[in-house]
Amino acid sequence: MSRTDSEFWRRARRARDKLAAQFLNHPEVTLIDIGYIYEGDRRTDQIALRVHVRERWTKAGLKERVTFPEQIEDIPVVVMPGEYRLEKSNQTPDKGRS
Amino acid sequence: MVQTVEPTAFREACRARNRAAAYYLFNPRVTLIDVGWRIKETQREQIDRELAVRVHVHHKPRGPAFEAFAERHRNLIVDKAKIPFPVDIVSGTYPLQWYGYPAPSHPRGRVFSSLCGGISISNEWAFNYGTLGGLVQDRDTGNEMVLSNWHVLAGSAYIHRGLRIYQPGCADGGCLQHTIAYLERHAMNEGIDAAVARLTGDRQWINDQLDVGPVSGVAAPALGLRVVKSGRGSGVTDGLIDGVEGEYPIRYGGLWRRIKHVYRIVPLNATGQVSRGGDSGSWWLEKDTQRAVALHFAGFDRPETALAIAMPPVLEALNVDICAGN
Repeated sequence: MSRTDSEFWRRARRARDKLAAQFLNHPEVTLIDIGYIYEGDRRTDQIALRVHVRERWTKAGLKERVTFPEQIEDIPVVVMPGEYRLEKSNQTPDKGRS
Repeated sequence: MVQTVEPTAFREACRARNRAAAYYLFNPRVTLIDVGWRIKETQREQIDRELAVRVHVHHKPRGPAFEAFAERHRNLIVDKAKIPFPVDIVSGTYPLQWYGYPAPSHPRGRVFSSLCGGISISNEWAFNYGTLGGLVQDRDTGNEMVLSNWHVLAGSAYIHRGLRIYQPGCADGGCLQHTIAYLERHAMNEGIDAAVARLTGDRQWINDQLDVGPVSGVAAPALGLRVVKSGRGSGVTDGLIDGVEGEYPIRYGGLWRRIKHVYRIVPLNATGQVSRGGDSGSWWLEKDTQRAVALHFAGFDRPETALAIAMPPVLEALNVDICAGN
C-alpha cells in the first residue's frame, strides 16, 4: 500500500467520510483520520483509518462499548486512545498541561 | 474603629449601584461596581467618609488625557448624571486568581515591541492565553492581520467583530493598553478553528517564529513530514505528522460541528513533547524549508500528540496570505 498511490488516497478519503458519517458524532469518538498503524509504541509503515477514542472506551467492557468495522473499502480500521483538548492556557491541569 | 453607615443612605446607594451596573457593568473599561467610601486620590488614596457608588475601571485618564480619551471613546465614558448618587471613579483591575492566573513570568508572555509568531496573545474577554501564530495579509484590502485559532481570538459564537486582541494575553498580564488588533473574521462556519484580527499598527511586526526564524511560505502537510513550531506553552518543539485529513468534533454555538483538515503530530522520540496548554494558534512549519504547513489547536498527553489544521485551507477560508518581510 503505497502512500503516494492516488487511487489509494481517493479510496481512503471516501472510506474516512463513511466512517465519520457513522461514528464522528458518537460521544466516545474524538477524531477520525488516516494514518500510520502502531504496534505497541512502534510506528509501522502501514496506513489505516484511525478512530481515536476517549480513555473510558478503552477501559469499558466489550459488551458496553461501541464497536467499529474492521475495515472499509479494504482499508483496515484501527482504534487508538486520544482525548484531545483545545490548548488554551487555562484548561484543567493534566500532566503538565495547564 | 468600625465605621457605621446610615441604613437609608446605604439602601439608596445600593439602588444606585444597581442602576450603574445596568448601564456600565459590561463597559469594557469597567472592572467592578460597588458601594463604599470615596477614595481621595490626592491624599495617597486615603478613604473619605462619604458614601459613594464606586465604578472601578482598568485605566483612569486624567486632565488633557481624559479629554482626548473622551473625544475618541464617547461610548466608554461613565456618565455620573445617570446614577442618582455620588459616584467615584476608581482605577483598579482585579484579575481572577484561579489556576494559571497570574501566570508566572515567562519570556514568551512579555510585551513584544515587534510582533512575531510564538508569543502570548488572547482576546479581551478571555482569562487565558494562546499563541500568536503569525502575520497575514488580507487578499482584497491588503490589511495586515494576525492569524491564530478561533478559540483564542474569539472563543464564543456570540463574539462580535472588533473584539480587542491583547499581546500578551490576559493571563500573562495583558490589558487594554496592550491592544494590538481587533477581531475581523473567523472560519468556524467552514469547519476551521481559525480567525484573523486586524492590526492597529501601533507595533512593528517581523515575519519570524520566535527562536525558529522566518516563515518562507506555505505548503500542504503530508504524512511522514517533519515539522517544528514555536508556541507560548512549550516553546520550540518538533515532531512528525503521523495522521492526515482527520475530522474532529467540537461544540460551537450550542451545536456539534466538525473541524476538518486535521493532522496529527507525534514526537520524534518517545520522551519528546510536542505541545502543551497555551500553544493554541501556533504554526507548524516544515522543518527543512520553514514553510507553514498547519495551525496548531489541540493536544493530548497519553500518548503525547498534537492536532493541527492544514494551512492552505485555513488561508483560503480566511481569504488571507502569509506576510513576507517586514
